[in-house]
Amino acid sequence: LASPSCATALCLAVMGDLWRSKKMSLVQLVVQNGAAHAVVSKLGELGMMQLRDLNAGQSFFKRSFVDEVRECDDLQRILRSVEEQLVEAGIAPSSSGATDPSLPSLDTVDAKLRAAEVEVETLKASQSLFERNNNALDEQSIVLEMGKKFYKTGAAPALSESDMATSLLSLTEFGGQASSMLSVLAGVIKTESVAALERVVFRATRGNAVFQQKTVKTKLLDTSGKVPELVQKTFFMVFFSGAVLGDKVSKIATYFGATLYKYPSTALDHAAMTYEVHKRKAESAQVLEQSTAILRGALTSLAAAYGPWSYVVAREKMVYDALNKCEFDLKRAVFIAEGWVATDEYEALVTSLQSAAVAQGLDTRPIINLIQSKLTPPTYVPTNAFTSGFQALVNTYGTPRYREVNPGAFCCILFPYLFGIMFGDFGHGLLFAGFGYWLISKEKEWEGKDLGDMLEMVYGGRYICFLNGLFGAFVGLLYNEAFAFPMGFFGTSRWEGFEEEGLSGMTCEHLERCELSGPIYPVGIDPIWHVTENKITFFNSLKMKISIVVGVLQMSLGIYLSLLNHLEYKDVKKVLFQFIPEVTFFGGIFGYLVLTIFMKWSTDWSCPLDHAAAEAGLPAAEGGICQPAPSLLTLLINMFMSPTADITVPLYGIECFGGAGNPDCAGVAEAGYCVYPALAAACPVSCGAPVAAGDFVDLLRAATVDEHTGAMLSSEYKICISPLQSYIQLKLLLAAFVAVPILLLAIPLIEIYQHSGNKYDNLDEDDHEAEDDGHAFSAGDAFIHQGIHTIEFVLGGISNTASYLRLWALSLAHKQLSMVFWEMVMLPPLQSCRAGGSSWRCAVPLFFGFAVWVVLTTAIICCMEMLSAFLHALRLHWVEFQNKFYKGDGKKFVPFSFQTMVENMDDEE
Amino acid sequence: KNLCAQRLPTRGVETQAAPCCGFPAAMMTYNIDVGYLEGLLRGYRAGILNSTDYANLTQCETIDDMKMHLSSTDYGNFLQNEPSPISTTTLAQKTTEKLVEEFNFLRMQAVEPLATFLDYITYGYMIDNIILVLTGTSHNRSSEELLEKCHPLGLFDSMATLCVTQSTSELYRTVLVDTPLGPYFGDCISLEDLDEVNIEIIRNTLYKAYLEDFHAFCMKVGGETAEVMGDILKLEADRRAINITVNSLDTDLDLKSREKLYPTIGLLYPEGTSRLIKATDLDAVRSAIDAFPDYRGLLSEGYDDDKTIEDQFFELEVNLNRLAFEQQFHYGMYYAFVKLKEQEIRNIVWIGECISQDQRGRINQYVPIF
Repeated sequence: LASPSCATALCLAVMGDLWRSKKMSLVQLVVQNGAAHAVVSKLGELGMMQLRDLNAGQSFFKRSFVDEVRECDDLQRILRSVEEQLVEAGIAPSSSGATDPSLPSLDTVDAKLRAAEVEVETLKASQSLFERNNNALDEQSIVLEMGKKFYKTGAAPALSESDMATSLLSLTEFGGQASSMLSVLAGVIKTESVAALERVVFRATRGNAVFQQKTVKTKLLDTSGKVPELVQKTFFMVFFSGAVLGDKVSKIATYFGATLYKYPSTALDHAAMTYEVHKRKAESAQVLEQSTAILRGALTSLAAAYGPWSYVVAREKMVYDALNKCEFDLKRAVFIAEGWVATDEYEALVTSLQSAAVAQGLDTRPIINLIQSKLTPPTYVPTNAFTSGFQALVNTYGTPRYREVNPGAFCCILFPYLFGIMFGDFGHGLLFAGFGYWLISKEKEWEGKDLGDMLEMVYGGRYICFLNGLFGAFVGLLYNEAFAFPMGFFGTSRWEGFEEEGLSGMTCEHLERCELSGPIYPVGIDPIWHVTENKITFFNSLKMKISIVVGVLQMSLGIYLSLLNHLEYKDVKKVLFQFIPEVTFFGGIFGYLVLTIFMKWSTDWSCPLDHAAAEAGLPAAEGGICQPAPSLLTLLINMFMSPTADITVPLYGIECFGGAGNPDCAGVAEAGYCVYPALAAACPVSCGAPVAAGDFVDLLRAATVDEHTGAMLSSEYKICISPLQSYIQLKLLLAAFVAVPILLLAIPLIEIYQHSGNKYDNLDEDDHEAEDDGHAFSAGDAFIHQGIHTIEFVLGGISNTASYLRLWALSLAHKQLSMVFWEMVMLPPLQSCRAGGSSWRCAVPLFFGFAVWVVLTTAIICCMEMLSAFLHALRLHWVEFQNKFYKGDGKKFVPFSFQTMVENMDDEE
Repeated sequence: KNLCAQRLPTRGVETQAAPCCGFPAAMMTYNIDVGYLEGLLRGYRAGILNSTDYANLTQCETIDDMKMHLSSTDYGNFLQNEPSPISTTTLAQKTTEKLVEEFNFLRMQAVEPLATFLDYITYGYMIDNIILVLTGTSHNRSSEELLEKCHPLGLFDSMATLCVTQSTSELYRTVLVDTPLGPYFGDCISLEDLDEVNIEIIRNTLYKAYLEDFHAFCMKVGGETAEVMGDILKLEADRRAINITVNSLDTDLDLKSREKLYPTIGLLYPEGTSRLIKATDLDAVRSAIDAFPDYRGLLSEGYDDDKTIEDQFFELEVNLNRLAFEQQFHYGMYYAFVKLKEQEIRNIVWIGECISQDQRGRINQYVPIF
């Protein structure tokens, strides 16, 4: 057990705080009542401590400082209304002056803010009064003006200029009475309700009124609401006769929200009134201007104070909220606060609190105790600019449990690596990395600014982008691919012999006609593979195997990390009965699969080039082992389906037996096969039956008649088997099958045993707080939980391994897509260039072809493909990797800090 | 006078080509039109305060405490810009605003025939508003004050003009003829003055016509809507009938005109109402409704101080409305939502009143919903 902890120490040195969440201590502060506020403020400045709610269960409005919180709420309401006023007036409020040392106290802010509110209210009120007044004068002048127009168009032709002094509608034809029979009502109303008004007036007067209307061109204030606003209004005039009707009409008009204005009955009055209105309008405009200036002045001075004030109020509210979480001991006149602090910051906290107490001149220093507790501490994983993005990916799935191995530490490299395998293209990768680098270079400029949702997200993941791009380029280098081309960084292909035939005719079978000239290609895949006919088959086989290898390695890492977790929590039974069976099962099957992949890769399966020798059936003199390469899929299937049968296409430990003589087919009728006595004699142990199985015996030479002697020559046979491989596979399979029931049963049984012994221990545990007590033990639950875990692990081993094949699939899709774009868009213009002709006929299609190609490459490959590769890499991390060890049910450490508050405030703005 | 002869046309229904839930296949296409709204509505329903919320609210000491608790519910910070102390009027106003906002959103998104259905819901509020303004005017209240008191769901354009009307025919001609309530008004034209009794008669006549029309509409829509709304509207009709009878026992309203006010739907119609017509004292009313198990307890307990007959009807109504949410593919739950929310507002205001008037003993007399 020494080595994992040693590894832990090593990792700790390399990965620092990211490896496991920090150790936390529960700290208790005991301070005299008077100093409570000062101490909590200090805590907020330090931002090291997460306060526990000691009054949980008590409803909020019964806590000690609820009045102060309410006060702050009220102040925030005032601040909000002030902000509204400022925005309305187009003045930018100052930002929060968190760094300003000379911040006013809450009481000062309270007094000043309330005074300012009253002042602004008063100014607003008088301002609005002036506005209304001004508006009324406006409307009056409009009524006068438009009314006159109505008369001019309607009645004026009947009047001569000398009639100015008489009534405008004298109606002398009705008997010459001096006073007119028709009265008039004029006013303005919102355009939207003029039709309804007209209708109702018509109905109410039974048609005995004439209604005239005209839309006013300029917009006027609607003063009916609390806040006056500019609306479209219509001027109207109603002619009617009789006082009763007039009363009714004016009432109706008022109810419809119309403003009625006096309309003079004679032209002289009209002129006088117009003059009067104009005079008053000029005065009123001046007054309005002045009052607007005063209001603006008041608001400007408020705007400067707005930032610091809102900061103070928000800070104080936070302090009182925190104080509400503390316990107040009235008898001893002390308050008690409890909270979590990172253990290594404890000393710093103590010293700064003590020095703060001295600086504040407190009589007694705060008493600070460390408390032993069974409570689960919060998870505190400090991050920096580089790791925060990766840690965020992990936290989105779940915050790590306290002191659990943090997958974020591995995510930093493994995530880009998996991404790279899927996005493997040197050119695209570099483009993407360049984008990431550009984002990083903007760090100084953009940090702490509001960038908008989309950009904020991309900016937060700038290091992810950069690393993803780099890894994409790196894997692209290994695939030897840039924009779907092979690259020649290390010279041309090492295979020779293609020149005459052209490249497209090459297949793997024909490679024997080519020769490897010198050492193999130093980095990545030989470029020739991109042009052979069987390139897809070749790459598929390669990438599929790479996917499995990477996947199994990553999952094994996950399983070993679970070991580190068990050790951290000192859970021996899980080490013995969970980790070991898991490793046995997983390593025995999938680890073995990876091993066979490497074995198959490192074995030279080819036959020597000596065709004559091959035809003569002579054993290989040089070159490979001249055996059919086994299909690994079949190998794995046979390992499960027929574990005891002999392996006829072996991978390693190959033993071959040969013999001559004709098969004895006497028993073919009942047994279905012929027996080769010669082979059976040669083969040592296991060949008894298998040799007889006919179908996998290599016939090296059929029975022939000797040319010279004419004698019948017997056939020659060969059989190759691998007893070693059979043996190993059988043992591995047995081990895996034994591991499963252990995994399933051992832990629940142990737990049942543990809980049956100590019935009375629970009494002690009752002393601890309820949240720690957990659930009562139940044997059924234990079995179900372990059963679920087992099923998930065993089935997951298979399905997760298969799931890693997405690495291959996405990589294939990426390559094919970029190749299609190249062939469909860029190749035709290039070919037309090659075909010759004028340079225009080459350049123009090339120009547009290139443009289209660039757009497609950026939009589809670099954006869409990138997203899908990102998503799949994320899934592989969350599901396939993390389910091997990660619980992710921790609570995030949220220190009580004014700094975070300021950030939140800025975000809201 | 010839207006009286006008028959009630059933509006809105003829234009609909396919009623929503008449046949089973309609279930398949139901969500095309109404799925989004139903999702919204069920979300709104989840926001209705539950018994835990009420338990917390009743423990509050001031209305500001209530505000604090309500801010943790679906109401959110709807009171955050109100200076404290908050009055119960503000509470009622703001909670109603929230309901109206939600209802209007549903109304804007609705397509036929749901849109007409939602309009029907507002007619009830219109009737209440008209009666409120008429009563207020007869008591010489100012129009602004009256308009402020009106329920915002039942506001219509020419509402303010109600104040100038002197007689019923004028009322009809100047105001109501433009509103959807016009057709309901046919039977009231003969009344002359707008005195208190006549206003009451107008209210009940309008309501009777409204309920019958709404009921006919729901039947036309068919399916679960008819089933659910049938039950709810029948209860509403019976409540009206019983209330009319009880309230008119000591007045000089003659039996003939009382008969006209009974809705022709409901469990009580026709046997129950025919007995109610003849009832001249409370015992007769009691014996008239005793035959109906749903209402049997109403009057016998009704004169305890414990629960008024009104509260008991509220409980019956809440129960029916709650059941409406147990079914799908019907419009009844829109109606139920509005009514439940209205009950919730009454509850909140009641709790608020009890707190502010220090009547904590009666605080638990609200009608629990969920």
